[in-house]
Amino acid sequence: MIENDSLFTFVESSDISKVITMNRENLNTAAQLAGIVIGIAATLTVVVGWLGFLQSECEQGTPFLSSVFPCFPPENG
Amino acid sequence: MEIEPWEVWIRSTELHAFVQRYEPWLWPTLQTLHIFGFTLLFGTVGFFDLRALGFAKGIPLQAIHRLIPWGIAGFVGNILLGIVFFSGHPDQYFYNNSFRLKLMFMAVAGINILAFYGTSAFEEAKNLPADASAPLRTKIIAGTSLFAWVAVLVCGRMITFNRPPFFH
Repeated sequence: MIENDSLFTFVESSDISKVITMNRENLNTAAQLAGIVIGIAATLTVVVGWLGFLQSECEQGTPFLSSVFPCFPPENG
Repeated sequence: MEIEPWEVWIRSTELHAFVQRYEPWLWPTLQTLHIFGFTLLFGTVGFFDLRALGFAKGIPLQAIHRLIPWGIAGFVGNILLGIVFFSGHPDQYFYNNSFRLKLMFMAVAGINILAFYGTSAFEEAKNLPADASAPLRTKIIAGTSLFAWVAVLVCGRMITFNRPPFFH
């Protein structure tokens, strides 16, 4: 059985610093991945929200920027 | 709805007839290639943008910039494919707010490219060594590029959900 003291004997300070560095790198990577996900979600929200806004404005009869985003007549209109 | 003269002309072209004739297999094939082209674009330009924003700092920007011609190839291929799609179903695209928004975001990306290559931002980025942070201006351009291309992707995906009611 390994005593706790002997365990500490084998762990050198350089190893500990490597572990800390690795954890920091992992945290950094996780933060970057979270940033990408949030960025994509934000862009998706902006685009889909804008399209939904245009659609609702057309349905309410108050078209917004109709020269660029015209409201389309119904199929048999 | 009355068909506009420009649409009548597109529908009279050989390209339109070709797309209509072979649509069942041609359309999914070209759509797959379209996604492949975007993958090339995003995998290179997007990677470059991410590095400029501080991801994978160990890689010099100049090394990633060598991949950009692949992204340009993907973009040019996608423009050509887009012309084929438009010729096949012009009304689906022209009378579509999602498509119009997609073109606007492509314009934003284009202006952003001019802001990068047309100014000293490119020279600054080119000489950036590994592990160095990009200047703020380059980061803003990279962020705008990422936003614009993701928006182009989202708009492209939304096109089929915003077809005009008179789609034929």
